[in-house]
Amino acid sequence: MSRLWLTGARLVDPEGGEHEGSLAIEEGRIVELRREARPDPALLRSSPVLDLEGAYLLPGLVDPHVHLRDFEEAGKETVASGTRAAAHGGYTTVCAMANSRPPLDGVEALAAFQAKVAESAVVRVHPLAAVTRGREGRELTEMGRLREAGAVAFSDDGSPVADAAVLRRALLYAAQLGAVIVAHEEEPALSAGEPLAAGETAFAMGFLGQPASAETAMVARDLALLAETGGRLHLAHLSTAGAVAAVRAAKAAGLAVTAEVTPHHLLLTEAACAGFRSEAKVNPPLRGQADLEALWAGLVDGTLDAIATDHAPHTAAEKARGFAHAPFGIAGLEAAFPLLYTYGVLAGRIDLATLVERMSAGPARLFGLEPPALRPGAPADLFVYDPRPELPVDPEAWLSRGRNTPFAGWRVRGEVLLTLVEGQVAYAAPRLALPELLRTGEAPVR
Amino acid sequence: MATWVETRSGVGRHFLGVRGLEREALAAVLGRAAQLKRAWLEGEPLPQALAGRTVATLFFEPSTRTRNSFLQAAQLLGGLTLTVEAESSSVRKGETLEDTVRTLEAVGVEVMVLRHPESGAALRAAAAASRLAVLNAGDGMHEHPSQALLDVMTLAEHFGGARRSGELDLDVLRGLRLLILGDIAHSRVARSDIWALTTLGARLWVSGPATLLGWLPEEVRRVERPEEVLGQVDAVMALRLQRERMADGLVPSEREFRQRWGMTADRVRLLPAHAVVLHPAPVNRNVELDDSVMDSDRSLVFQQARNGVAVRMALLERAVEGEDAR
Ligand SMILES: [Zn+2]
Repeated sequence: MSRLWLTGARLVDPEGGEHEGSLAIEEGRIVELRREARPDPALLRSSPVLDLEGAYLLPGLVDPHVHLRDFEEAGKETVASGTRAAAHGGYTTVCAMANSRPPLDGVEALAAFQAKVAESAVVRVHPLAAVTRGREGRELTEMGRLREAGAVAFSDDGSPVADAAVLRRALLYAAQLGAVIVAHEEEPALSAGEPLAAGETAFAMGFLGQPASAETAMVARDLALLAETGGRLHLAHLSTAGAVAAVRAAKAAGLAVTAEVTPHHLLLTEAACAGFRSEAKVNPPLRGQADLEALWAGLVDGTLDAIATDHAPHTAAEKARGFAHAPFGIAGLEAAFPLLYTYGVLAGRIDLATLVERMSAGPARLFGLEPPALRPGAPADLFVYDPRPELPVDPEAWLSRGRNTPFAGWRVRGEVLLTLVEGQVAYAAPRLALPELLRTGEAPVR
Repeated sequence: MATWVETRSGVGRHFLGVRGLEREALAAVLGRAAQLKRAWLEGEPLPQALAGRTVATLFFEPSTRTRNSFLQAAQLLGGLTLTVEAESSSVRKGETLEDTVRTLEAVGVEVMVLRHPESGAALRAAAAASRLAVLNAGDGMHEHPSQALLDVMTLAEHFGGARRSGELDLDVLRGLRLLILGDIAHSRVARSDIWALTTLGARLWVSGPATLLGWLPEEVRRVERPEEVLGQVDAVMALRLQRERMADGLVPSEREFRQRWGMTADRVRLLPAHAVVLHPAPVNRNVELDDSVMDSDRSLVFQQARNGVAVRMALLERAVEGEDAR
C-alpha cells in the first residue's frame, strides 16, 4: 500500500469551489479528500507527504484541440514532445487533430498514431479522425469503424468542409453514430488565403485581410445544416463577435452545438501582427477589440464551452519565411494557463473556478470524456500551480519543439510545478523536491 | 527567433516605407531631391556620390518605368548598375529572397532596389542585409515610398512654385485638398501617398468602386461619386486600374469605371481653375484619364516622371551616406 498525501494547497474543484485542502492518492486514484490544509498528523504518519504550501491544486486541464504533428512532421513536434509540453502546461488530456501528415482518415492511420501514443505519450491523448478522406472535402471517412477504433470526434480541421452538401451528409451520418463533428469555420472564398484579419493593421501592412464574414457566414451555414440534420456540432476556435452571437442564439433555440475559444483570441487583437510579426499569424486570424470582448463575455456566460490552445507548432525557419508565406499557427500548450490566470483571473475578467471549468471539465464534456475532478474515486489527473513567482513567458524553456508564440516575454504570474496523470508524474518542476514515491520517472500513459 | 520588427524605415540607410516617417524626415529627402534636380536640369555637375559603387535593381514584377528611373538616378550620381533579372536568375530556382540579398552583398552590391509582389518583402530583404542598403521600389500592396515622395514633390513644386522659387516648400501641402480616385484597396501607391500626405497636413478624399476601397484610415474621407468634391479640390490623383480587377470580378468593366470614376473631360470641367491631375503612370488612356486630360496643361504626369529621378537620386545618395539607424 503506497498512499501519497498532497497537503497545504488551495484546491479548486469543479463541484466544491475553492478551499484549503489536501488529498491522498493511491494506485493512480484520489482516495481521500479533506477540506483542511493540514490533516491530522496521525493520518499522514505512515505516508509520504508532498507539501504544496501556497500553491493551487487543480484538476488536470483538457485541451480539445491540439496539433501533435509527428510522422512526416516530426521536426515540428512529436507525440513525445507535444505531450511533455502539454504536461508542462498543466494538461492531463489532449485531443489531437487529424490533419497530421499523413492524415488520420482511416483505421490504419489511426492505429499508427495510437501506437505512437502508447509508446511515447505522457498525458492522455484522444485522436480525432478526419471527416473526409484525405481531408479533401469529398468522400466521408469510415466514421463508424474509426469511432470504434478510438476516434473521439471527427474533423477536417486545418481546413473547413467547404462543400455544404458534404458537411450535411457528415452531420447526418455522424448523428446516427452519436458522434460529434468539429468544424473549422472558414469560408475559403472570403478568407482567400489572407494572412490576417481585415482592418487597420492589414491596411498598414498591405493586405486586404480576411473579413469577419469568412467566419460568420460559415457558422451561419453550419448551424442551418445542424438544425436540419440533428446530431452534434462543435465549432472550433471562434474568433468573431458575430459567431459568438450566433452560437448563443442557436443554444437558446435548443441546437446541440458547442464552441471553443483560444487563449490568443482572448488576449490579442490584430494589432499583434503589426510590423509583419509572423509569430502572431494564426488562422482564424486575430481580430479587433470588440471581438475580443465578445469572446470573453461568451466564455464567462458559457456560450463558449471550452478553451482550446489550437497548439500549432512550427519551426523557426518556417515562421521566418516572411509574413505572407509563414505558416499559420501558435504553439500554445505551455503558456495557456499562466497567461489566462494572469490576464484573465488576476485581471478580473473571469474567476478561477470558471476558468478551470472551461479548461478542464468543459472541454472533457465536448467529446464525452470523463471530466478530471478532485473527488475520491476519480483518477489522479491533476496539476499543481504556484501563483507566486512572476516570470516572463520563455519559449526557450519549453518542452514543445514549437517555440512560435507572440507571447514571448509577456510577464505571467505563476508556474506549473507538477502534473500527474493517473497518479504518475507527467511533469515536475526541477525545483520541486519529490517524495520517493513520485520519483518513478516518466511513465507512458495507456 | 525571427521577429519582423517594424523599422523606422526611412531614417537609416534602408528606405522601406513612408508610414511612420515624420515631417522632418520627409523634408530632408525632398529638400535634397530639389537641390539635385536643380543641378541636374541646369547642367551643373552632380555629386558623384555613387562613384565606384554598385546599385542592383531586382524586380520580381515588370516595371520598366520605375527601374529605369532608379537606373538613371544611379548613373547620374556616377554609380555602376546591375540589373538582376528575377525571371531568369537563381531566384526562380528556389533561392530565397534572403539568399539573393546575401549573394548580391557578397559580390559587392551596396544598394539593392527591390520590387516584389509580396507585402513586407522589402523589410525581409533589409532584415537579411548586413551592409547592403535596401530601397523599396514597391512591395506587394504595402508601400511604394519613392512614388509617394515624387508625388509630394510634384504637388509642392506646383503649388509652392508661384510663391517662392528654389527650395521646396512643404507648407503649401497643409490644407491642400486632394481626391484619390480608383483602386485604393490594392494600391501601394495609395497607401504611401495617404501616409505621406496626411503627415504633411493635406486633406484627403477617396472615391472608387466599393469593391476597390476596403478599410480606410480615419483621416481619409470617402465619397461615393467624385462629383461630390470635384468643385473644391486642388488636385486629383488618379490611380492605375489593373486589368486583373475585371477578371477578378471587382469591376464590371473599364467602360463602367470610366463613366463613374474616370477623369473624363466632363469631370475636369468641374474642377477649380487651378486644380491639377496626377497619375503614377503608366496611364490606361481613356480609362483613368481621358486623352484630352492627359495631354492638357492640368496634367502633371510628366513632371512626376522627372521628379522621380530627382527623388531617387536623393534616396541613393542617402543609402550610401546615411547612417544605419536600426
Ligand atoms: Zn482550425
